[in-house]
Amino acid sequence: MRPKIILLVLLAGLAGVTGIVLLKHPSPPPAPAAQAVQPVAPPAAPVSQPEALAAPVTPAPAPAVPALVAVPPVVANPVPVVAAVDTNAMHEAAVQASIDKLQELQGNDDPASLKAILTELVNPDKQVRAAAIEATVQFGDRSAIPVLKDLAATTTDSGEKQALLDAVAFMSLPTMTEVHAAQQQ
Amino acid sequence: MKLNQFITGCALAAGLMAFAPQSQAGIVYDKTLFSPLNITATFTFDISGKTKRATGTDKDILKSLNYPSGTVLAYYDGDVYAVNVKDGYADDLTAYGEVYVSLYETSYSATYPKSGGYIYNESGYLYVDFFSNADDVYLDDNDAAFTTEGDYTYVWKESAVKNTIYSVSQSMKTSNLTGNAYIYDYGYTTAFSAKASIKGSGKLLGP
Repeated sequence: MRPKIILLVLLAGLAGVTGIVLLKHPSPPPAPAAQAVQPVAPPAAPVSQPEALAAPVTPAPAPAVPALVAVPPVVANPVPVVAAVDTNAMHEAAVQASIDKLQELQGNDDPASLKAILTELVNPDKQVRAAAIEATVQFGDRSAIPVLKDLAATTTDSGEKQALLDAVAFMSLPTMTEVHAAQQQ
Repeated sequence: MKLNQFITGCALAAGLMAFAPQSQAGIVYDKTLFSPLNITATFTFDISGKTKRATGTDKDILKSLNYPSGTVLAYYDGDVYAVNVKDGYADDLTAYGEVYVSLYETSYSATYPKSGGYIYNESGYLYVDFFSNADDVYLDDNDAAFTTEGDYTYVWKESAVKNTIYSVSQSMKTSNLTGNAYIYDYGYTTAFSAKASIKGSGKLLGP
């Protein structure tokens, strides 16, 4: 076949596949209800992109449709994309769960809660460590000060070191509750 | 986005949260997700001619209002609550006139990750106020009180819907809140600086 004829057949195939895809997906899915919360959200924002990418492409009935033309590159290998998204989502969820737990523990007054908070000061995730420093301050037990000082002396992260030292400085001051009690005596 | 829109948005989001079906993180009470509110504050005052400093946290606020250990200060739908899951209550401290967090947005933006959902960022000016005796007109009519203000940033993250469920999280941070505080013991108003943050997450039913 001559190149012009090949090109014509390819274009016809592409047009056929495009038509079929449009028929199967006439419009984007509706935006989730919560998007009403944020008025800046464009109405046609795709909300289930991973699933859409992973969906198999229906073979075109047109006789001369080369698969390499019909399938976009991202669909040719969808599994790693979805797996990476899932892994990130799982990690974010685990980090958030740890932070939520710390926030719950900081409201308590028992030694077990303090111990659980201090354990998270060496969590591999920086966000969890930052939340643990905050929870230690909120817990308000000065027996945690030596632990904070030790970590400040060994950490190589300058920002984290400052946060630990700030926490020590804050916790070393008297609380208003203590000042109030002293005034009452 | 105006304040009313933001508050309405929070109300809508919170309403959706109330129908969260399962495995919520954060503080969940009565089918509602509350985002814990952390406050760390430093008071500066004089005793016998010497300048002293003292600290306060959200825990001290709860103690001054006679809430027991295990109670958490939390933000939900524009109001601040004292939530105690174990004892089974969520008291609206804003409705009582005791604690306020008021956000006034000045700019916002949204991004849409390839994985779906979206991330909404907002920044602006906020007020964080506390009145132990619920008198928000005169600080010195309270046993302890503070009014403070400063800049804030706010982030709302929402995942793609998967199996009819999607995740949301919200966080708010402040920097260098400043204002005044009044402590009855000293009988005068003192300088006050603080920082505050809100952080919480949960799962919602999709459309």
